[in-house]
Amino acid sequence: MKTSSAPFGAGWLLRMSPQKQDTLLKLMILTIAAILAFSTRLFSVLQFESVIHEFDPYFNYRTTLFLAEKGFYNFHNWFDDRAWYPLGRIIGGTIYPGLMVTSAAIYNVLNFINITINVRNVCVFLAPLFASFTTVVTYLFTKELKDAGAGLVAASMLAIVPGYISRSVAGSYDNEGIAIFCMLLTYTLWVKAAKTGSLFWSVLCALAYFYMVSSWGGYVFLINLIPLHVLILMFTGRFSHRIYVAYSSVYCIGTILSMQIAFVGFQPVQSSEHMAALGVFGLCQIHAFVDYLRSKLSVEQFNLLFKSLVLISGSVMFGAAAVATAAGKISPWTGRFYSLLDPSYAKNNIPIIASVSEHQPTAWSSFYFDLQLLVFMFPVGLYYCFSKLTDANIFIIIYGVTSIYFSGVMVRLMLVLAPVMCILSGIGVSSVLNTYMKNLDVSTKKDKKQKKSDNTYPLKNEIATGVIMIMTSFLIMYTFHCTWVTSEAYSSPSIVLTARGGDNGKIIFDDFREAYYWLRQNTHYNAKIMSWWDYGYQITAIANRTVLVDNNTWNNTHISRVGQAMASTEDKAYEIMRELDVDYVLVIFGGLTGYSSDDINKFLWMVRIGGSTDRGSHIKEADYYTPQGEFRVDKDGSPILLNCLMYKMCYYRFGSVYTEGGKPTGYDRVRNTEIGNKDFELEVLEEAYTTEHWLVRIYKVKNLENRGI
Amino acid sequence: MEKTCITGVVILLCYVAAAIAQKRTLILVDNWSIRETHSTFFRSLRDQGFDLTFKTADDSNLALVKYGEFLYENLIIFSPSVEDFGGSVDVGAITNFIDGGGNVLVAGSSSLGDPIRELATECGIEFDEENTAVIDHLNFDINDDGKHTLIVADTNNLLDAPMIVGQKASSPFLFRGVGMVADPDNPLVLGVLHASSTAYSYNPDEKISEFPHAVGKNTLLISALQARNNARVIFVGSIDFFSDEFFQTSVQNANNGKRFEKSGNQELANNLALWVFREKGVLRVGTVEHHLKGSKKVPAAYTVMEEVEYSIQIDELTDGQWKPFQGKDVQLEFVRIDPFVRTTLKQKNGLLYVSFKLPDVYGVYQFRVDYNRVGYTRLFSTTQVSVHPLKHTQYERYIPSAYPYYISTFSMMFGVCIFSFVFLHYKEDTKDKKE
Repeated sequence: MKTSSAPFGAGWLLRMSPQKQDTLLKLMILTIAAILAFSTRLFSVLQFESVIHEFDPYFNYRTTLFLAEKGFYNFHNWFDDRAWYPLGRIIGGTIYPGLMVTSAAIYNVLNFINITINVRNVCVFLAPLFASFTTVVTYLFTKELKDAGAGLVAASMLAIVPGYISRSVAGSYDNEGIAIFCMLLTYTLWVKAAKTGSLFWSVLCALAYFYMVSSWGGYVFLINLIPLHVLILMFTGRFSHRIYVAYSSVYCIGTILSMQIAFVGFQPVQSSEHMAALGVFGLCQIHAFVDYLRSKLSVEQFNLLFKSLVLISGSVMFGAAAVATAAGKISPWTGRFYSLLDPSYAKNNIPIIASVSEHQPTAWSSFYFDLQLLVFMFPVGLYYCFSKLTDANIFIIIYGVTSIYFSGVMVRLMLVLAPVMCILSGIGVSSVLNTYMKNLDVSTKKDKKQKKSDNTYPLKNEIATGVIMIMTSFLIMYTFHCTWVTSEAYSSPSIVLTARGGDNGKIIFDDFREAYYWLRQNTHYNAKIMSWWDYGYQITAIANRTVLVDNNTWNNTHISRVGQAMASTEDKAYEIMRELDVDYVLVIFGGLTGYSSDDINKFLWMVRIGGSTDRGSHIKEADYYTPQGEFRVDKDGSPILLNCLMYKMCYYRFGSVYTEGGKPTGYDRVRNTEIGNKDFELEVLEEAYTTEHWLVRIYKVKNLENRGI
Repeated sequence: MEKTCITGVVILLCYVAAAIAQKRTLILVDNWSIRETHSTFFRSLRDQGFDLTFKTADDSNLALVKYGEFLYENLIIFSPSVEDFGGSVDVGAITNFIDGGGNVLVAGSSSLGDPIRELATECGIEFDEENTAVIDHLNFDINDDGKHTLIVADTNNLLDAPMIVGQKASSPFLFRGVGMVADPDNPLVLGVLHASSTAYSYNPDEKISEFPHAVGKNTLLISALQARNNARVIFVGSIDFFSDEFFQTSVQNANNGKRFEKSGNQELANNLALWVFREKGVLRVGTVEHHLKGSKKVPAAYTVMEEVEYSIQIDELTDGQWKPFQGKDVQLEFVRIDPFVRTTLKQKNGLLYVSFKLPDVYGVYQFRVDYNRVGYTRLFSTTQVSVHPLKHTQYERYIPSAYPYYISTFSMMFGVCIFSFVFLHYKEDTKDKKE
């Protein structure tokens, strides 16, 4: 029995035709990659629990709940009076609904077939699920570009690339989680459409584009990349009827569909970010028309006509664009787009954009951290693409080059870069392996003698073996690196914090949820909570209380008003808080635990944003520095800083607390100093709640004095 | 039948008890003689139905609170020279009493003790130093003893607030006591009666060596405070102001003044007592209703530009009964940080009512009635509602000005159909010929 069973397995495999074996192998690799993509993203659930992470996902979760409960039309017309008090926010018209619709659909389908799963779990596991889908799409995409082998390598790499995992671990329920899938799907279908010139693929591409538009603002990248591809094909003389059909139909249908998203509205025909696509569409028509004319006219006639046509149409177009911009029909380039082109733009002009950490320029080290092997294999893939140029290859080259530029500008765009890195590296690795695998000598000894006589290529077998071994070790190292990065860096939910204790054990800081639940259970339903905007989404989602500002930073003046309150003295702040009906103020304070991204470290942004509007013009950043230009909270710190509301709320009663052995009381473990102003009382606020590790402190705004003084 | 009768009686008794409970008044005196010298004032209080309890200010059993509840609604402190209150009463206890809703009437004199001074400071009023008195060399009474401290306060110096001081008194007031000034930062203090422009406050037995604490019209003789919880406090600088002697005596300004047979003190004292003990000028907010015009249901949210009806019930306490308030100047504000709508409420069936159109701005608003008139309790009623933008079905589907575009769209669609049809089914004759 023992002997017969082993050959049975092999025999079963061998009995299949090579083609079938090939298919089976591909299928298995792809399935394993997809499963790996899903499971590697579960570290966060295993290490912590099945919770929603960070800030934006809480908003998405809340909206998904609403959608699942109240239905699409209520969702579409949803006016949220729990945020941006008292302005309110039109949710339906200011979000990309793709993510919520997707999860609500999955939730409804699963419940319909009696798989009872709650909305939270759908939300938590949506990103890993779509990561699996992305893996499959990557395979298809790379197969279109090169071949199935490269596709499998690319898919396997993408499954674990940290740059993508950082945004798609379980619990990270954000637009990007599904947007990358949509983006790659659109690209795949676009390449397919451009290759075949078939209306069918073009329409599918437009539909995929619609899904992409509905799910992420990054669709602007896509709607500029495809026209760029067409434009470069025109310049290189590769423009053909196939491209014409593909682009015209994708643009028309895609634009009309994208305008159905309320948040996008008329932007595709008005804002300058979309004008490139429109221009290329026009150019396509002209190019096709010129080609038609060329086929009908003699060379001289054609040249004359061509010159005059170019001149006239050029001047007309320029004039029209100028008029439309002057009349405000074409919106001026928005700040976020400027900051893409010029990294210092936002910093100099719009503090609210510059203050977001994920809008910061990328550090060099994070390229290696997020992509590792891919950084080196990317040029190899580019080389192979250049060496065999096709329409599709040109597309991936453009994609690669542009996204590497954008990812250098903004950290979060690393996400757009990661897939193309995988694809190009997949092509590179696969091509290298293909080249050297052939040279590998696996034949019997008899053949070896014949091989040795090959004088033009000495040590052929050895070199091949060496290259393959190096490549294998690279890939293994890549796998280890990715897994390590995922488990260590990208699986923290940031709503629950951990630290290593003295005995190397894990200490959990669950202060955020403690504070939010306190608010939920101890305050009036309509209480208004003032906090810095970072925590707005979490407060509305977990505490279910009204907030003044949140992470949807749509109203700079309102945020500025909160910044002014935080940066003012108590009595000035009290006027602002009364004007905005504030009941409670919430601050994040890390001085006791050493949690460094607390409100004191964010405080300079509050000062800058607070001082950026008219009503806050009295708040000057320089006043909060020492004469030497340092930001410090100890005795030498600026007196204005030591008496502002934020300082007082963070350090109230802190002056009498011992935090570290051998240090005086009131020793701040983040700033590593003894605080300067220890002994003070709050006049207009009273402490309502402070969490276990002092991470979150909540203050109640007092009423006016009964007897008027 | 019997049962309902009994319940009726019980309810009636409860009302009576409540009515009495409303008027429990503690009077702290320096010595028992004040009961005699000020008997007219106390009698008039009794006639108003106040339940008076007299105690000396240093009574060791003195207490305002028992088992966490106030024992009295009103407190009269006719013990200006007290240095220490007895029992559990001190300045803190009295301010707590005020913050808890109790009303206080305080009378001072030239020999003023520290507790009273502190209490006044807590209420935004500052008495002048000990042994000082308000002196007026031009407006003193003919019976003055030569120090010009028995001054005659003209009726024109009275605050123009009939709710507090009653109808304009015919005869001037006699005053002998300490002056005070109001804290300019305290918005709640009212100067009920101020001295004339020639008055000042100083020790009458000393030579003036420094600038007097209070000069001219800044010198307050009577001041009032209505706290934010509507507790009322009155400080009178002269305990003699309430005495039988001052009530009865005739007044004549020594400088060619007209002679009045009777001073205005009694009338003013009674009016002040009625106001400070919340017998007059008391309002309350009853039910607040708001809904769409023509509907009765309160919607979960409004939509911009809808017609909304708002009504509020405001009652006034007149003669111990709650009756609909007849004010014509109550305003409603519809506020989102700033008021977007401000309109005067009209009387309708005992309710104050208004109907108005919501602004074309969405957000979270408040219906806010903030009625703040001198002498009346402060009314503040706010109701939060959210005003939603139009739903996607509420917009106009076809805009008249866009008709050219509609026509061009449909004609284009039609044209494409015709063109496709012709293009697909048109047969060229020439081809046939060649074949």
